[in-house]
Amino acid sequence: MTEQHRHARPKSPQELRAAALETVLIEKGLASTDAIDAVVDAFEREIGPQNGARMVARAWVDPAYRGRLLRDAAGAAAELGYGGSEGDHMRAVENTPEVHNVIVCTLCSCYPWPVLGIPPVWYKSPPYRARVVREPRAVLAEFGLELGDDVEVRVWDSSAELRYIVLPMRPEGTEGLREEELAGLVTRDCMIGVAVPRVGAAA
Amino acid sequence: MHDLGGRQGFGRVEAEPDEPPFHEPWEGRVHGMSETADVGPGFRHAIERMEPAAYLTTSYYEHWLESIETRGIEHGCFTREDLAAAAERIAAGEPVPQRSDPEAARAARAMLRPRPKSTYTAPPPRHGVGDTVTVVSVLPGGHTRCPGYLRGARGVVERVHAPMPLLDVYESQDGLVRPEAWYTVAFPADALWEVERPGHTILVDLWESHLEA
Repeated sequence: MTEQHRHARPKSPQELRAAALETVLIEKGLASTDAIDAVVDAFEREIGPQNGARMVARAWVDPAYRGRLLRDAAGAAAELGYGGSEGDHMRAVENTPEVHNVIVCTLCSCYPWPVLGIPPVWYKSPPYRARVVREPRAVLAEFGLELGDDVEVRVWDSSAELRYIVLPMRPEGTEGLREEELAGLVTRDCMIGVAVPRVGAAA
Repeated sequence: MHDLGGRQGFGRVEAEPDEPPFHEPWEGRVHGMSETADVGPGFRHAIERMEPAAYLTTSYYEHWLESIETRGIEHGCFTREDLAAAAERIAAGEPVPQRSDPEAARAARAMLRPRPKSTYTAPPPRHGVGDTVTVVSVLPGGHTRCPGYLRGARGVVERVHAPMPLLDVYESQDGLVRPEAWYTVAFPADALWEVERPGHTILVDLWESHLEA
């Protein structure tokens, strides 16, 4: 084989197992290198929380877009070119002074890939999945988010084919910011619901 | 072991700053294989059948590896011996072979873009928005999308959705498509557990089969 190969000698059992599986799939004609590369490349370069942040910022400055986002989040995502696997059906849930939303998947790790990318390890971890449905305020406090007793917490446990994204409230003091600057305030955690946008926070 | 909602005994949620999409290149390869190689249905059911201690102590992408291997073997795509033989060659320094399939690569990219939604027909929904509903107390064996903590719980229908295949059946019965209406149902958490004050609301998507008539 003259082609320079990606895998040096595997360093971990997982890497060996994955390389063996890829070898078998390629040799049986069940997978192709370029199709696998295309998926990896998309998640490393194009698909991530910057997509959802752009939707949130658009919703903050454009009431008509906000209306479409809340009615049909997948359609509103498609307007910006986002969609597909794990996001064919999406719903945006809006934070208000009275309601704070947080998303989880207790059975697995359902997550709106096209707009938030690959879920972080903590979202997929047993502690988050076990605890956030039972003691959301305690979990949110661990993320540094303390909510008043007058705020209703809604925990969305995604279990079907609908993927959720939180539409956070636009923070005070951002009246002069452009849409792109607003998007910079919207972190992944804000769209999961374990944080809220803050002026001066890094995206 | 996967049905974790409300289980006690877990510690703090540990977040990693500036987490990359894939921590190691092999995780990206597994993601790409999972998205593009057809080894049959039952992705989640294969993970759910993992030995409980292994489930809790292995990573997300190890679960995915397990799922591709299990389904590939069960559906006759390859054998455990094929995997072992390939592992021996890789361990001896052989590279992973390469194969180009531009059409498959194009399809992989298209899958990660907006695409038409499938529509399904099913009997009309039995419940409407605002109805009080009760979750069945006996859940099916095998795969289910109804979290165990909701068995027998009463909630209120928040939204009614167009029919989709019941994934309990699809995953457990080798891809059998049986569409049903499904709902988003709101449950007051204090009816499920002794919870912190003030209480909260849990909203879960459930199919017709998960609710008592």
